[in-house]
Amino acid sequence: VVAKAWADPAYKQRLLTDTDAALAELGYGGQQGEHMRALENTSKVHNLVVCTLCSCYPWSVLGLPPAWYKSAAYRSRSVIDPRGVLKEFGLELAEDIEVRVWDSNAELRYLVLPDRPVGSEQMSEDELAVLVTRDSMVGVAKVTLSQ
Amino acid sequence: MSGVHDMGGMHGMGPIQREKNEPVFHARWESRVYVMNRALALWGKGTIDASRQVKEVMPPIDYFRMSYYERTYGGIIELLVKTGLLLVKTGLVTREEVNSGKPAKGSAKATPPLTGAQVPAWFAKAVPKKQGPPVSARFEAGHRVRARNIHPEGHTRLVRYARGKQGIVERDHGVFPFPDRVAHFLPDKPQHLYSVRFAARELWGEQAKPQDAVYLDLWDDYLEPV
Repeated sequence: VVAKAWADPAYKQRLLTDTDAALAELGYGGQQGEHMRALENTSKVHNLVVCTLCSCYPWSVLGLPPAWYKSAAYRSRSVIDPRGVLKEFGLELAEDIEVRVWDSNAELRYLVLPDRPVGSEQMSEDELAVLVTRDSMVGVAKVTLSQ
Repeated sequence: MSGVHDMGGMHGMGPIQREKNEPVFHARWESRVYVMNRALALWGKGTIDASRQVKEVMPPIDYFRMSYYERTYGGIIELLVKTGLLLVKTGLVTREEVNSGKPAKGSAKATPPLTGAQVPAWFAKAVPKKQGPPVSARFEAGHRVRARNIHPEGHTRLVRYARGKQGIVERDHGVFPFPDRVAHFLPDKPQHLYSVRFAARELWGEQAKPQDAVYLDLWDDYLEPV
């Protein structure tokens, strides 16, 4: 989904405006993935997803969450100190970036569309798809060429 | 309720522990609890909010002591037996049956039964939103709102850290069931759900960067106009 969004501007537009339908085009969706919303990371905006009240996560789209996503440390800190949390994940954001934290406290489920790594311009959709990680779609990592 | 589950903004939970090459389940019993939980949901007589509520009322010391799947397991038992809610409505299971692991003679069975073969298709199928009568929206994108300063003792999805704080409606998600009602098997009060943007400084003060924000999905009844 992410690689296709990078490679195909029309798909990216559909993913951002009607996320459920765009995911369904590629066969994704189902329980705990019914009301999806894609959040685009850009050179100015970084999105981070958490569920402070329980551990809501788009199971049918991203799979079951890792233990850290469900931990008290991640749930309590992401909203008050997102930059500190990201630093623990090895991601230091520039001072002027806008950090948007999405607390999935209702039945909406969020998917971060990471920004395409610099230097990947010549890569095909299939090559790009290999680079995309779960963590980048939760917002705790960027996609890089060397992973 | 203002329980320990409502932990956004709390301190003292330590660093985030990550595990390399983490397995989906750490033990066989975790996968069994996961399956029991999904099967219970497919049975369709509870609500996701009820399953959250029964975990929230666990004694705080147990909530923190237990792992995610231990809480899930505890929640399943609470939901089926201790609260009596499903028991009263459906007569599915008694505490004696849970303790013995054996169904009592003549006990009711879930109908239709859920079979393994049905599961992949069930999971892939989105749960459709119930279509109720139209409900009007009090707010629209761009409206300034305040999350009400309320402290319900029952289930709520209005996090503590946003109560009394001002934000801006970013979009209207349409009408959703109202968790504060359906978690307790009370008649639903479906209403509009909005994405609301709160400036990080409004929530956390000067320590936050001026451009940062937290987005919450808030029901109409949680909000008041500014």
